[in-house]
Amino acid sequence: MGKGLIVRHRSLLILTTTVTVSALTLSACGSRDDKSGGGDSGEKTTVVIGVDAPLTGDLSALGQGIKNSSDLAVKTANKNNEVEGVTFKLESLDDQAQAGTGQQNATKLVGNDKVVGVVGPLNSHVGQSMQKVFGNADLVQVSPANTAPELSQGPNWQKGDKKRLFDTYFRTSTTDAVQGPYAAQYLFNKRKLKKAYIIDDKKTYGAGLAGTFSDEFKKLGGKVVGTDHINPDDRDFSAVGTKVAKSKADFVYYGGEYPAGAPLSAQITKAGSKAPVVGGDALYSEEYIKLGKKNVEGDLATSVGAPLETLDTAKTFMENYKSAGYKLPYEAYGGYSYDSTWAIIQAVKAVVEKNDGKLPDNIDDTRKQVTEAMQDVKFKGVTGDVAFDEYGDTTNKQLSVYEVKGGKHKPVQTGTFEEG
Amino acid sequence: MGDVLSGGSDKPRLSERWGGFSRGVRRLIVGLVCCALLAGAAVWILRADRSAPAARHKVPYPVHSTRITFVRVFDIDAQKRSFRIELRAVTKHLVLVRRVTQQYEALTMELSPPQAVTVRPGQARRVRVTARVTSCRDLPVRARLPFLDVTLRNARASQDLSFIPGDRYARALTRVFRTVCGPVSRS
Repeated sequence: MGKGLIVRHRSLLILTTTVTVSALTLSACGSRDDKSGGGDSGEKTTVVIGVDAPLTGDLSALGQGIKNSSDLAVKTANKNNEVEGVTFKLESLDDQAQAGTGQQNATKLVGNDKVVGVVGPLNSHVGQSMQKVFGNADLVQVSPANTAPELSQGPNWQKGDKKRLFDTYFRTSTTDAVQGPYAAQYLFNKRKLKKAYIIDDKKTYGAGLAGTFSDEFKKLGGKVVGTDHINPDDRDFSAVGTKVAKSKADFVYYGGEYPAGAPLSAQITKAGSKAPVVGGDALYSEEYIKLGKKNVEGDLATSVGAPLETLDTAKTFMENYKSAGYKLPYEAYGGYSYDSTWAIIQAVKAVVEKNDGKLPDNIDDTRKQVTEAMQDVKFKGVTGDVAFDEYGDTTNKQLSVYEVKGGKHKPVQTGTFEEG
Repeated sequence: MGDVLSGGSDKPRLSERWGGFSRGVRRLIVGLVCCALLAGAAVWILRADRSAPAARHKVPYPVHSTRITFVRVFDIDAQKRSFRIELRAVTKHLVLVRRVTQQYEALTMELSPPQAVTVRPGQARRVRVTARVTSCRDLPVRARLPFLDVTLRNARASQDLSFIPGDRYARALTRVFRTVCGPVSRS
């Protein structure tokens, strides 16, 4: 009896221990879920991160990608309780790619005393119109897509006189100071294309990019066989197409965005020219291929960053974006938007930690401290290591060349700007 | 015989032990064991899921783990139209620098010595390149952003990348080209 009883009791003990451990594991999982769901019992402060981008109109594909990616970052931060005691909310505004609307949005965001930082905008000229409004309010702005160098380095950057005008302005994308010359070097030296026809849309981004490209291309010995300016709202470019075909250019460099770039390229092809159209990050969109169809095969675009597919940190982002069920793709700036939003979240976190676990009571103090904290923000983001230099520019200055092959943008070269 | 519990042969069988429990206890045990198994499986799946990407690709692509910066231009020989370039490579994961070139038509470049340079994590390595100007005609003297084509190989992949060393490198090249070719030399 004694032996049998001892064995039985020991079996029971083992079973009970296993079950208890499992139950504890389950209960631990359960309590984490509760917390991540935002249901913890502590008092929470809700702050708003603003997003400004073109959510309607021709550039809405890029704008929606920015908004959705920021939304994903906010949801992730709330789910993981990234900042103890703080819940983030997103407020997105549509600037329709118009400078005036962007400025109105900036004023509106400044007027909302819950807003602690703003992600956006897409367009450099819109960014320019917002900078002063945010600067006056000490409200930090992180653009995932502005590439015009003057936004961070001042109007005389090209003469070597770099001057930061707004301490509130930051960006996670690299600039046209690198993008234009890199494209020129690549096309002239690697592709051996020596004759260019240069077209721009007269906007801050387009004219600036075409300028940095043209300058380097000529210094390399390249020949500019023709130039033109187009109206970005036009869609009939047959006259320009004919001029390009007659010029015998090896390629066309277009400083502008995909809504005009795609029909321009298609009409150049239809005019009998085999010259590929090459442009910057604003041509690196699925919409460019959808609009131009087979006529844009062989066209090239440089874009900020290394291809996301080569980044292990980006894989989780891509999977989470997919499972979140957003209707539109994250597009060219998705990863950069996620990182811009995460940078604001990290700056808020630094302020909370500095102030004994809570944000300052006064919104002006909060904004000022968040802006100051942004300068020191560092983390491993979707697009690589995220940090900012003395101008508010990203320290991660990578960019890639993509070629349209088989109806997709395929990476053909990646470069890193590393000033020694 | 010692401790009878260690014997084994006279141990009651599992079915006998199971039969000794009341119906209620048996139901409870079955329920709890199922819960425990489910919990264990869930934890295992979650952990496996989280660690899977990291396990698959422990080493990042060379472009994300290696930094190459320009140090200096030296040994300029105007007669031979040659000069040397010193770079500094640092990496987070072991990498081989297999090739460094610049795609100018009038310029050749090769590693010096020609063997691939092994760069180990945490140890900065000097990479030296010998360059020769083959023709002073068409030499881009004032280019603002020349880049170097570098082939890197690590455990993950081999990549041909552009390293853009910036203003200081561009100015150094301009000085060398002017020294080697002279301000008016075009042959």
